[in-house]
Amino acid sequence: MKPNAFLLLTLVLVLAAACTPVEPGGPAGIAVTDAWARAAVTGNSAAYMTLRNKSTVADRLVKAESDVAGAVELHKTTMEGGMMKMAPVDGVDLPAQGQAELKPGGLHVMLIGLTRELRAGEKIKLKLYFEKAGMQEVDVEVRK
Amino acid sequence: MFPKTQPLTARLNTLAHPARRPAGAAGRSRRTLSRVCLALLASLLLAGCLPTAYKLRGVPYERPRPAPALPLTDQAGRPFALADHRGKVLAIYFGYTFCPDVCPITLAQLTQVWRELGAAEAARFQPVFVTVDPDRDTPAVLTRYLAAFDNAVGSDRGLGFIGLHGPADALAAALAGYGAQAIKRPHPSSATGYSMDHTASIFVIDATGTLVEWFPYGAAENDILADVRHLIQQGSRP
Repeated sequence: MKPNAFLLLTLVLVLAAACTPVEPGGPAGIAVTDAWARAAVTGNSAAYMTLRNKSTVADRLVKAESDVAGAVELHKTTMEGGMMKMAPVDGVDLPAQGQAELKPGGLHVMLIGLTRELRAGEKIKLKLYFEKAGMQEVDVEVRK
Repeated sequence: MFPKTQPLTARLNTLAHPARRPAGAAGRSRRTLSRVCLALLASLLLAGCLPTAYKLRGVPYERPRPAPALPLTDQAGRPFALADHRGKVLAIYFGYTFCPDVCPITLAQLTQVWRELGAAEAARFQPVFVTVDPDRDTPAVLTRYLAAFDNAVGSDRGLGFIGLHGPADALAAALAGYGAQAIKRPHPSSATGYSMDHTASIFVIDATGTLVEWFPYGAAENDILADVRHLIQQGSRP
């Protein structure tokens, strides 16, 4: 191989590696995207995100932890005839190659008893525990 | 009926009598002409050819009635009276600070509405948060919680969110007046202890103290803003 061709090939390979999107959560785990939490001075807050199960077996989000709150639980808000109801849930089901959306007015990770203020723009750490995929720590952006 | 009629008459008269000439034969015929024009305009108005009356975007009450009393106390400990807020448009929301989801969404909406209003309009818009969880939402908690929304507007105008709380019987009376509900749900296995199921609507009171409409949870911010703005303008007419 001529030195020029070798250089070119290396360059192409390096570029290709850099451009290939890296799947969050590894090839078979859970992809966590668009994770954000509501800014709050005191009291409680909620974190939202999209969870995508890339595996061919069903999984389940069963627990979450963060050091910004005294307790972290999975909760669900529902609206029934104009009434807002909120209750804890045991887990969030993730069908094989399916996804679950945690969003305002629905499922959320509730941050109970904030240990400090959550300011818009900062990032907090959240540990998510999945039945099969195990623990995954994610960065959660605080938004207004 | 036609709030536009008076300014229109004035404008027509100015058109018909540009120099306000004394009424002679010509003046009389001009007056007749202006009357014919007025009649024509009135029929056009009736036919809906000119801009029609504003249609509220929320859910208007079929029979608007004086807003039911909120016999509660504000976060500074002052008794609250609706009569003290005549001339302002009020948005009433029943909720609780422990709720991390639907309540802050709604309060953030009201904050945004306030922010979109001009300074003069904003001074005539008063959001009111009524806690359905007075055990946990003490005046101190309410003050801290609402201050966060006040500060979020990032202005020295000051939003001045009012937070109301009161004993169970007073709260029950306030809720009943608005056809709203709040039910305590214990969650023994949760760190929250309990949650409050509650009506998540926004109730709107106009400048005359009349309960005119309500918005369901999830109503578009622009719709709330448009109605609040309309009611403020309506309230400032003589």
